[in-house]
Amino acid sequence: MRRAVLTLIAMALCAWVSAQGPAPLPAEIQVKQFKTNRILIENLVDHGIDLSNADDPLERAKACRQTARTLANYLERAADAEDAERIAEFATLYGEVVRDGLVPILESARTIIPNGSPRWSELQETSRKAAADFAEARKCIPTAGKAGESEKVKAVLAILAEMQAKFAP
Amino acid sequence: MNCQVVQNKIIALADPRLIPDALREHLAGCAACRDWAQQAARLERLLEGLPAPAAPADRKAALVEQITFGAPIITRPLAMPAGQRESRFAAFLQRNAVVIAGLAAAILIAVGVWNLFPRGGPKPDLTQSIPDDPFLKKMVARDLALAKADTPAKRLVVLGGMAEDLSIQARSLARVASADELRDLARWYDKVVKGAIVKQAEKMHGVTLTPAEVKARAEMLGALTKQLGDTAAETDQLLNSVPPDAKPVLQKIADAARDGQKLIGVVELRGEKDKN
Amino acid sequence: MTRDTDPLPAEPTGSTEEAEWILAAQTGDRSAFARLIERYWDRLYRWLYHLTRDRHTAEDLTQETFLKALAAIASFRPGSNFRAWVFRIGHNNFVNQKRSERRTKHQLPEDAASPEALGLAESTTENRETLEAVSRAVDDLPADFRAALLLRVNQGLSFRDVAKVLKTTEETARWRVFKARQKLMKVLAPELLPPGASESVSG
Repeated sequence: MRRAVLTLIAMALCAWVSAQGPAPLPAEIQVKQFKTNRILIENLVDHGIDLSNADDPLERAKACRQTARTLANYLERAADAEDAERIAEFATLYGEVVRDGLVPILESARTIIPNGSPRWSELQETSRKAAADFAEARKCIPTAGKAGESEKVKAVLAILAEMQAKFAP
Repeated sequence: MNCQVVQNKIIALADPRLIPDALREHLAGCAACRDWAQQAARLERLLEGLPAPAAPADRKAALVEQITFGAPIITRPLAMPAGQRESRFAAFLQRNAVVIAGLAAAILIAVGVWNLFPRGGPKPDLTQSIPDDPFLKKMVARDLALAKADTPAKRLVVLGGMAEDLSIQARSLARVASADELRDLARWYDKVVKGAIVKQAEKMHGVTLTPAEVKARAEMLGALTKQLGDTAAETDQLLNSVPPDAKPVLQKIADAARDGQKLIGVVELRGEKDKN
Repeated sequence: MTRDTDPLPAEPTGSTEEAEWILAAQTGDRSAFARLIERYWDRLYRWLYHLTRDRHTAEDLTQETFLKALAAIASFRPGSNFRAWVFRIGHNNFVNQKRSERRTKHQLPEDAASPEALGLAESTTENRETLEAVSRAVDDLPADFRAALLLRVNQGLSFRDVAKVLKTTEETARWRVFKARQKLMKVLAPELLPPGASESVSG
């Protein structure tokens, strides 16, 4: 236990130090990006707070699905606008949240929540909805037209296609 | 009158609780319809008391202030013959000459009303935007990390990082972003520090730990407190070199960081008291 | 966290005070218009919140509505119902917004309706589950029916004014309120039984 806690502290210090990240972009570009993404970022902050308030895997799964859905909404909007770069950006972020967040949490929740309990049905429902979200998100990405021809979009579509298998019923 | 008709009439009334005499007669002798009337009355009451989140007072106040003291309200130009439109604008501007400087007016006309109130309105034009926003990536990564965090300690690590990201962004953008945009960052920072971080700190104290764990916890909260202090100090340092309308916003962030420190300190003290 | 029954800025019936504000606003007195905003902001926001089921959108629409109302104030017929006029602008904006933003909601309704967000944390006479159930059932109503029902029941508009807000006939307004209530009576039957009865019925 002690080692785990101390490791945590080491992690903490690393996390804070690495908040600096790679060399920052010029402020003019940063502010343009901020203007565009402002509302999305507010949503992500709110979702993050919801996630921190979630006390068990099922609640975390529901909150994580919120994050995923928000990104999916922006993906759909980018798809409508046929903006290849943004499609690729949002699809990548969405895919990461699903692969690294939603899927593992749902799996861990399944091992903890007893089969047949009321929370089990809630878990099933959340899983089902997440799978449906995913299918819908994939569908909205164009495969033709100027966005559909973009290499970035094709690449991201391929990644999402691979992930679809994880949502097998 | 048969019951179906009566029941339909009741819910077709302006207010089902005010039953007209014609229907009262039927109700007097019919328990089923009386029950229906009672349920309809209850529904009406419940609907009247339907909860809604509080109307955001700051948006209202901001709008009132803008309207009372601010620049002229120009909606998208009406479909009028060009000559007529110009003279109406000219008259409009003249009436509000006190408020508008010539250049500002030209900008307002070019930019339209929505940019007076940047929050909301027509959504940003994505096709003009610059993709691959590192800040956006960071925020998504924080959410992902929070999704995996299953103890208060782990959450604090991530939340501390998220707060740091927000304050860094505010400082980076202090000279180029609008006051409104900076205010958003300050507001989010406040939410994360005084809402989420303090809450998780409290949760850490709800658990009984071995002395070694207690020590480790104290160290973590100490590191967090120091981080907040650093944010406050760094933000303070910047205050004199940013535009005047950015100053109060950065001040808010520094204050929130210090408040966060205090609140965590209070939580610590309470924990100490409980222990003893 | 507020309830629709919470006291709002007093709404006088056919007030001369309000009529004066409107006339003043029509001659360019902005602080007069500001008072109208103070009076109607909360009400309009609440109604738009129930329509959009999203706080951010409701905030934006409320703001947009008042801006448009200010720009169009000259066209308001003094003596007619100002609230209905403002709500009508609000409804127009809602319809336009819905049309252009089909799939770009910021928060998904079914995920956004946490009890705390709806102000259900403190509840007086009605218990929390009942209010949640009612909220959900109202949310499930089609927008037209929800809009009409709430205008009649929460906002206290006459059927005639409801029709004006929604740009339809009085007959249609009555019909929508009737159908909305009919649906809710059916869906909420378990919750609407008197307290004693529901205790003995629930397992």
